[in-house]
Amino acid sequence: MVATVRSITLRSLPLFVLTLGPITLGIANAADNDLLDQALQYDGQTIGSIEFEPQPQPLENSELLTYLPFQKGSIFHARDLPAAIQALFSSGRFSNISVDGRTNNGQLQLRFLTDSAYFVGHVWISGIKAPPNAGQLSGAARLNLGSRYLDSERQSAASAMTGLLRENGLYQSQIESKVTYDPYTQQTSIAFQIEPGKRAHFSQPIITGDAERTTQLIRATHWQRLYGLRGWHEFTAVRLEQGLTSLRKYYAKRDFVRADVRLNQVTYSQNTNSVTPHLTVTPGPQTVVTLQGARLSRRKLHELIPIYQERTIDPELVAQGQRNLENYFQSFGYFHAQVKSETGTDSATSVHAIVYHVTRGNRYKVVVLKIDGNRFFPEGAIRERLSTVPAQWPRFPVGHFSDQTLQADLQAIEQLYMSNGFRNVKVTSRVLDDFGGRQHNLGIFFHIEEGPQARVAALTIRGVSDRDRNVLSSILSATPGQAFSETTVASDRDNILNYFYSRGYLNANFEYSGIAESRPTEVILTYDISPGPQAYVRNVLVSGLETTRSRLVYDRINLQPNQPLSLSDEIASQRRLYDLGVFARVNTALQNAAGDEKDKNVLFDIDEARHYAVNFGIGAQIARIGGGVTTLDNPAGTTGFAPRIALGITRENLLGLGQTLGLQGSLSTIRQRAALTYFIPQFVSNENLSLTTTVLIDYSNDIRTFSARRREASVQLGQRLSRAYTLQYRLVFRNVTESNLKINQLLVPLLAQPETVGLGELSFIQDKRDDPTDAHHGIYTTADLSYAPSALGSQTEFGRALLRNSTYHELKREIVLARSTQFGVMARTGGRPAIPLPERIYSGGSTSIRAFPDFQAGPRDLVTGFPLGGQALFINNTELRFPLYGDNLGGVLFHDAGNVYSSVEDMSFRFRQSNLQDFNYLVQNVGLGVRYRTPIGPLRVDLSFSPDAPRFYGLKGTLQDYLNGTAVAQVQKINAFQFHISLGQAF
Amino acid sequence: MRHLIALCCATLTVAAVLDRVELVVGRRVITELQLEEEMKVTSFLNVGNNSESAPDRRAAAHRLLEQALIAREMELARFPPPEESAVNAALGRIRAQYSSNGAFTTALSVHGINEQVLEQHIARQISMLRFIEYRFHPQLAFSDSDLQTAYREYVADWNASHPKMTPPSFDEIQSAIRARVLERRTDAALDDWIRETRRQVNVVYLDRTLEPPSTGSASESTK
Repeated sequence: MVATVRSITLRSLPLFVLTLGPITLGIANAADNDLLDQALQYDGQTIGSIEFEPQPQPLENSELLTYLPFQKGSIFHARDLPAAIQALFSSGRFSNISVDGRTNNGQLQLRFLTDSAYFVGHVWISGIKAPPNAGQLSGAARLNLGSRYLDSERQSAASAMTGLLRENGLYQSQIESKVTYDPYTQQTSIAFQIEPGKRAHFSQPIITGDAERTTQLIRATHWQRLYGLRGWHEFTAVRLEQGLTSLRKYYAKRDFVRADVRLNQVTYSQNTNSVTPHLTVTPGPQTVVTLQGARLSRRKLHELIPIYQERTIDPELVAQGQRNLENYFQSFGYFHAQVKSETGTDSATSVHAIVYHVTRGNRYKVVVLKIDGNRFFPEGAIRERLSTVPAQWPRFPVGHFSDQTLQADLQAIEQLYMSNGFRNVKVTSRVLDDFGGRQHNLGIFFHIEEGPQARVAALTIRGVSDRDRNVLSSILSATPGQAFSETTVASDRDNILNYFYSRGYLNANFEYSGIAESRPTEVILTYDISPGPQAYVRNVLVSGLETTRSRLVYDRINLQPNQPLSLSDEIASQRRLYDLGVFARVNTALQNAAGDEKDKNVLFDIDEARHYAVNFGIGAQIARIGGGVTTLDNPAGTTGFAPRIALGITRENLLGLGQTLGLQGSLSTIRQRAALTYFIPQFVSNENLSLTTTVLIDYSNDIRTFSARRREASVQLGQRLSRAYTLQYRLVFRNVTESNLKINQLLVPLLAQPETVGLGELSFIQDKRDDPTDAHHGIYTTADLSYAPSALGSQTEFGRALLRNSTYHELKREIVLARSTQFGVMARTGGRPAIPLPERIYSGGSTSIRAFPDFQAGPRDLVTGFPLGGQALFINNTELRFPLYGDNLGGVLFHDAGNVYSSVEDMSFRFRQSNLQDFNYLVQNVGLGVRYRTPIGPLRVDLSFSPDAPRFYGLKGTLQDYLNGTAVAQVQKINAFQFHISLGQAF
Repeated sequence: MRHLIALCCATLTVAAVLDRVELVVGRRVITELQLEEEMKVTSFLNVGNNSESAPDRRAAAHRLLEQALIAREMELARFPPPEESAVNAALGRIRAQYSSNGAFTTALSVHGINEQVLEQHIARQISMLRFIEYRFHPQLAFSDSDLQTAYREYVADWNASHPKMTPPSFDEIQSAIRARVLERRTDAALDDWIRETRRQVNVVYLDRTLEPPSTGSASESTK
């Protein structure tokens, strides 16, 4: 409860009170005298001092004085007081103000007595039992960050949350709230503690209006558990709504198109803690829609006839259904399709019938689409905006055309021109039947009369300083000589306002006028800009942190006190905080946004994310990954199936530092791995740096030649140079032990010793693709350089470079030519006499040379035939990607060429294997594939054929047979046909 | 002792409350001085007796609240203030009700106001009336039957007060009937608008005695 102004005044009265005029003793009672009369008594006096109480005030005294229409030394006029109080109140910082005055040495001492206003800060909601979730409760509370806080709003918030909890069956919930006030920041922190209680269950709904179907209707709601055998589901808003939707669908399925399902109320029983929905259903008459002259699935019919979505029947909807059907058939080539509708009611059954008579007519094919009259835009730029498409296999076998698409295309072309200054453009179309003398061939012609292009004759910018004008002139589109259009002006408006918003001019205003004086195509443009007052940052206030260190947050906020309040910096700071990956929500707002004060507190309110995350995945690999486990028979692999499961746990925001510790494990028949990773985003508070430390243990035999046990530790510093360019610096230490070797045993001491490697690596990444999962245009380049010196503990010193460049070109709409070239080389520089097997270059498989199964390219053991890896690599992939059907199914034709070579000196573009021991030639393959677009990338199946897949010597028998000398030599080969199933494009 | 007291009187007096906030309407405040001035001007214009009873204060507060809502709307619409000549003309009409300038000045003084205050008040009133016309009149439409209904009401009132006289014909007073219908419709539209706007704007009564008796709405200060 707050003391009123009166009592504040009384508290400040001295013990002995004297008044001017008649000498009396006593305490003057303000209520006895008219305040106006009282104030008028001081009219004409000189103001001796102006004070503000209590101290400290929310604003500096010097700032408060600037709000007043008078100052020390000026003459007091009582009627200035309301304006003074209004001005102070408009700052937004006060909830109550009064003024008193006294005469001292013939001068007036004025004193402003204030109560501070408070603003909404962090809202804590605990005890939640979803549904509803925290976000929904927070939304219901409507306590907006930075807005003025009133206690009535807390009560409203609690009521609204209670209402939401009840809507979700939590009728026994209790909410307690507590507000903490910070007088220094004028922020409140509001905590709602929810005691949800037990959630109510549904009980038998009361349904009126269709007594015959009550049982079926209740079943259709799915409010019962197991058809009532296990009672009723818990009552939630979503389940209630789903039940109502199910009832509507129930009727729609039975052709009761006009069925009305209405929820009248829900009643709650405290005794049984259950909720009874009261529904009124009005089935209405049945309406049967039939098609004559064509056949459509029920689903498609429901999609095209709007009476099903609108759940009513009127002539306009029937006519709309007619138009939709016409457009539908036209889009399949029946360009002269006509649909008539007929409605009627069967008097015996009261069934309403709507019959659509479809006359499809002949099926046409759009053989040509021509555009003429365009000078300003190339035809390609116009075509990519058109829905009308001439016949192209396989996606549009007869083309895509209808009256609707034609009209839309006319508008699209017009819009394109008008937004570039052609205000008088005229676009017409012509459809020619029997084009080229062939029956049912259509030619579509668009004719464009561009007309004159309006240009900006002159541009004047008013209302800004010369400095700003110079800067603005460099970022505007509407410059003299350029095309004039509303779109250009809108773009300039956005740029200008962003320029001022980022400099603290929060109320910047933009208006423009364009006058065509002597010539209608010459526009004299004037931009009138009112920047308004400039706002500055008073302070940055952060709330909501529980475990995160405040330094982590403040280091990422690019706003400083006394600097102009830049909205773009505010948003960039918010984004930087989100990029830490440890906050569920970062809300930013200005405190007291509506107030007149020049300097604003900027608020960042944060909800920390849950600290632990668990991920689980299952999958499988189907490829030529089988064989070679117990025998030496299939060095090139056989079709195998490797199920895989992955499990990981992540601790986010470790120690409140925004860092992440994760343990990830995966298990499959060909690989088992456990990796512990520590990730520091925005390393040393630099948003372009990240540090990753990884320790892993890996056991794999995906290279059929051997099984490798690897223990590795690495540190990687990632540096983002720009949006497209990234550098990575790595130190890697690993120890690899091979086992289960399927090579010439004489080579074992040379190639297969346990090896310790310490590597320094540098990676450069240029990524300018439009979509990394499915690029249509752009370029992607990587360069990986490694060196393993003995100084880092390497037992074999070697260097390695792998370069890759991929480009993507959209030839026509949705048809992409993608290519990728890889080159790799490694060389031993010291230490052990040969680079160990696990460190060599391996390639082949679904993302490299599809002529080979995974890691099967390159040199092979001359006895067993298993791959040995190499020291040089060259691969070139080319793909033509095109749509097959609809938006999600695409096809690919590809050609791969490449191999792994024994050394760079052995690299060759020879495309034939010269003998069974020759592996240093260019293997080629062609193939086709199918892509199905999913939210996480395209699902891919590739079939490849290689006419020159390598043949080689191998053994039939087990490893023991080989050691005993009883294994039988045989000629083996890589199968010319390979298949690959994977996720994501090949490159 | 007297000299001592006189000396004290000459140097220090009690702090007297000069003004305070009584009512908050959105971002506008209505202070006690404004309330009292409103009551005095109203009393002057209505030739009243300077009553400042609780109902008078509530009525004044209500008027100022409505004026604040309208002023807010005028600000958003950037409505221009009235010309000086219009204000002078209205002031002149009020002055003409008095026998002399001196009588006019005396009447002002008796009600505790001066000509400047009256002028400001008149300017505000003119501005608001014009804004109300601008804001509501284009939306108002009435038919011939509305005019006929209003005429019949007028005739009924006429007959009650002038039993032996023939009431004027519809044609004779059509413009007056039209003005009356317009006024009523405007009042109704204004009332609806004020009601709707009050729902959207936060109104806080810091002096609870100013609250209308029926609302019992929240009246509170923040801590």
